[in-house]
Amino acid sequence: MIARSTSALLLAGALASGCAAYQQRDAFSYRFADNLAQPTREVVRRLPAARAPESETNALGVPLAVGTTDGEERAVVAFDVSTGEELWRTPMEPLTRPEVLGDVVILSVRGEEGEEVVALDLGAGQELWRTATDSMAFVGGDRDGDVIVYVVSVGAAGGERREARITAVDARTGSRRWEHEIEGILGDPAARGGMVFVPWERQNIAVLDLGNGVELARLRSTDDVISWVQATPAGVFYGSKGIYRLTERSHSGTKEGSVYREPPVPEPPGEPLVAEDGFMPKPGTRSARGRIRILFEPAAPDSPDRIPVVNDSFYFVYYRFVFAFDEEQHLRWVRIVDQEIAGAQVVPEGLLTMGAEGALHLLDAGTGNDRWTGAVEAQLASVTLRAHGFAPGGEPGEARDLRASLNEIALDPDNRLVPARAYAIQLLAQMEDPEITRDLLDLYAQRSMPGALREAIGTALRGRSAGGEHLIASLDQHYDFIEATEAPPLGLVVPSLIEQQQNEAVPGLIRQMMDHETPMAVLPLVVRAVVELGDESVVPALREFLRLYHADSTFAETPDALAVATEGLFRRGGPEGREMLQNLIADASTHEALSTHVRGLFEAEQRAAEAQARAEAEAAAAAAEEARRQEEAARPLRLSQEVINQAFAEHTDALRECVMEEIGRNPRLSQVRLVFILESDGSARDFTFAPNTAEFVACLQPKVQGVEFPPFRQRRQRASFTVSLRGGQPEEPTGGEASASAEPAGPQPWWVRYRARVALPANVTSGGDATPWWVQRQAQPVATQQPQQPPQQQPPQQQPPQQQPAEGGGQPWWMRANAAQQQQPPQQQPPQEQQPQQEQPPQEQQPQQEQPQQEQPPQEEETPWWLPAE
Amino acid sequence: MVRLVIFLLAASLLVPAAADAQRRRQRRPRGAEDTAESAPAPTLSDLDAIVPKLSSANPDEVREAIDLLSIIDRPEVIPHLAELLRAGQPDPITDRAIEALGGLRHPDAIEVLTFFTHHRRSGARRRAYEALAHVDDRRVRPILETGLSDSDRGVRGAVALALGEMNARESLDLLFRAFERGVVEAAIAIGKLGNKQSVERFNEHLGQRPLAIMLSGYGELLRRNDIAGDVKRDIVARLGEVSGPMVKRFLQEYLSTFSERDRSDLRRQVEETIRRIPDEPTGTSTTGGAQ
Repeated sequence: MIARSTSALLLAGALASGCAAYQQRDAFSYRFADNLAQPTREVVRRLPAARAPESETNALGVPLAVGTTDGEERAVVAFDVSTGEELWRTPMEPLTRPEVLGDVVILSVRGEEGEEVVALDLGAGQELWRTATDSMAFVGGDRDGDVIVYVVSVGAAGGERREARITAVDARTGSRRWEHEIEGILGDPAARGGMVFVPWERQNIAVLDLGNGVELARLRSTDDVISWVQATPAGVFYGSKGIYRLTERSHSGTKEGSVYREPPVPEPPGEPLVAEDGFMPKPGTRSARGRIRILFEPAAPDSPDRIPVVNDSFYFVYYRFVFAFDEEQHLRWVRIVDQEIAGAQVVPEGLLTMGAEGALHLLDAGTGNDRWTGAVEAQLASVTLRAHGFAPGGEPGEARDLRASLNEIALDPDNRLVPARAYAIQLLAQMEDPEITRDLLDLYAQRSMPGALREAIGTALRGRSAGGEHLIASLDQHYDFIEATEAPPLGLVVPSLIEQQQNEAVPGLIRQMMDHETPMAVLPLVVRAVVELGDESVVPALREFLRLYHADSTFAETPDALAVATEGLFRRGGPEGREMLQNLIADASTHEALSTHVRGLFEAEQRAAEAQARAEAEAAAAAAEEARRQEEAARPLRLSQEVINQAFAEHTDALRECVMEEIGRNPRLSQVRLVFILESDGSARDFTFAPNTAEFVACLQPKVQGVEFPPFRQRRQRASFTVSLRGGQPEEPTGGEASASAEPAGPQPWWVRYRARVALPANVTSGGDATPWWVQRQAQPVATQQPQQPPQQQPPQQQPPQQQPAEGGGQPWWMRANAAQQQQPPQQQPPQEQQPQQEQPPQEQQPQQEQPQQEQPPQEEETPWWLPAE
Repeated sequence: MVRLVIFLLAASLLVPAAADAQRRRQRRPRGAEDTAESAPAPTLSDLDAIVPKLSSANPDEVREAIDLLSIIDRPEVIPHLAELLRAGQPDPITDRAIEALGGLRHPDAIEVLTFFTHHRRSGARRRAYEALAHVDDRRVRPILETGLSDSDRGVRGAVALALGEMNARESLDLLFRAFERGVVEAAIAIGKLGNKQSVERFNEHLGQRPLAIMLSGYGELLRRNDIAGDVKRDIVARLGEVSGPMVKRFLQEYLSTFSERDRSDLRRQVEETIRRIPDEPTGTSTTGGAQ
């Protein structure tokens, strides 16, 4: 009451002096620039050098626990942790957990004017000052020097009213130094280096000058939420689910740009923040909030980019369970303590915990064993520990087996802690020890195991790759009423067996399949596993299963298991299996649904076969089409004269007969010429003959019809075939003239006369019996053709006469003749198109003709001059 | 009144169950009697004509063939019935074939019947156990004992009664375990098979189990001639301690089985116990005892 009166007097004095000291300063303006480098740098420079956390002790110099009691006579109470001695007790109705700020304890209580902020003396517990919160909630405060700054706020949990007020007061008297009220929410502030760091709207940190409340800098997170700010000897830290250290890089406003880390606690249940939510009051009554926490203590940084922590450990506390993780996310130890943890603090030797009924444990950082235990006489609703540097010594003993500890948590009977028990199961399953698979099965078999945990065990088992032998062994278990044994958890085991492809499980699975005690609900799964994991050896069992039950009423409504068995038989049963399935369809007693299913198997297979056949046919057609295209592409654009000549060469005897007859009729005949149209498929039509006497045409027509030509790409082409009966020298008289070789003329055949006129190669016999007549009849010297060539295209100096016999020496005679025919008068063959062909020797023409860009239109090249253009 | 209702319920459950088991042991398939009346009884020489009918698509024809085979009543028909069963049949045919095998009472049927004690349909399992109980073979008792572990209470009850019927004294301990696990039919079997020591063990359940169940076991014990008079007197004395209308009616029924000229100590004790048990007040219900 004295303190309240003092505060009132001070307030009155301040009002009388014009409220100059309490004017709202320039802070929390939306026009204030945030994330600026220079102000951030200046703020960081103002911070004191980082120190080890144990260097900071409380004002009394003893390890302290200040809490609120639970029960009828509520109070704030302080204990000496090391002795368990109660230092003082102040009856009141605490609403929030006490905070120890130097030599002052601050909390909110239920007062006459609703919630009020109260400051108590740490040494004796007497009230120093008290102030109303104006229907807002006290969310926390901090102290630097002789100034306490605290925040009251409303609206953090929703609602229309969103207001907050931050107030700086004298720590011992409560006299206000400055104050800001905003529309919005503020969080628990942190004070250090003459500055106060205020989380604002879960996105900003406003850095105010502790002396006058002027905003110095503002940080805004652009990719995260800011739920808390803490000032420790090691520095200023803030964050939500991760931890940022305030450095000059903090102005980036991003995780990547700041010094940031996440706690190495993999997916803890309850999604705890790394520290308590600074925007929510810290409950001073028994509450679930605060019972699930991640605890750590920042250590002095050893490098600019790291956030080291004391013990290199993070502690995840879930009511009575403690999980300790190292920096690499490895579970170090787990521990169950006897009481719900009402408060805890990281100290150099480990984690100091205080239970709701006063039990104290110092859990060794390395083993989780008790290094020290103590107790106080109290029922505590909330506790704040200030025991920096508390190191009572003691031996931690050997570390407990982690597997056993996790099993212990999983088996804990407290069903309120199911999420943490599931977490323990998850951590257990991540261990490689094969025996853990058996542990999980044993846990599953516990009758008291809640459904959520059974589900967690199932998920954990499916994710394991070790310990399959225990899954297989579990299949030997069967239901027995007298022995009170249950069937194995097949719904759990079988998917894991399938997942792990445990083929060795097949015998056990077959036994389960044939066991009438296997629950119907999991029977399809069991049969599926038999089918999936087994080979042909499972067919007899499937046959027996199907035979026995295909007509039994047991499966009338749910024939799923039988259906799976038919699939197995269909897949692995061979012809006999197919036959049995056909018999099942034919059997009138077979369940209709099962018959339908089996029919569907056959139909699906047929459809698949048809589809495959279609696909194969389409592929074959495509391949044929491709081959045709390739074959077509490989064809010449049109046939060269050489190819045409070769085609006629196979019919020489037949042609000779007609020619001989015509010579008989016309002894002066010097040339026979055929002109015709070639179609792309190689057929020939529209033959024109010269001479075109009726007898000659009648003789030759049927014979040339049988000549087959290779196909070519062009739609059609004109072609001709010429036989020069006088060696290509029309002026030479037919028969009888003396040749250069003085061959006797007279009744000899024309080819004999021709052969005699031209010098034969050495390897050709003079008789000509073994060599075709056209080969023996050597081509005339090309020189005889030179006068027909256009002078400008075939200059004499480019084609010396002595080279010409060599070019035509190995070719049949008609090719030579054709070469002469190709050299048509210039007016019918444009020079620019004819030139390439004319410049090439005959034997080199063929490759050129097959190149489209060098090929010539046939009607221009091949059309004889005496035929009208088509 | 409540006791009366419970007693009547128990009697309706237990006594017919025992009698039904007895009937099943003795009866032939229904169709067999009809066929026997309407035509000359088939013999082994008719086997070739009957067996093809087992493959008929007409269920009635199959049933008739089963009945004819059971009338032949020779072990030579067992393979045919076994083959029929293993081929898988609709429930009525399966059940009829199992009953036919049971009627044959031949050890050759043990294998196929044992196979059907693992059938998924509890009705088929129960019939298979009951059919096995008809076979006089040393292999049968262990097979029946496995039926006490069955998940179906009907199967367990039928097996317990069958064990009692077949005088399987070696199964007494297992029957006690089944009784302790809630197989109420085991009380009757225990009553049929138990000796003095068994009675003492059975007595331990008095007050723990429903009185009607206990009385079904005591009834069997008191009816037996091989149970000594002092053991029976001890039973009556214990029932007198329990008292109640249900016990009184039970003892009155028991007293009616004594001869008029019987002057034994047991009779006198029964009469004395009945006298000591007060009559149930009209219109009121009583509680107490082990009900």
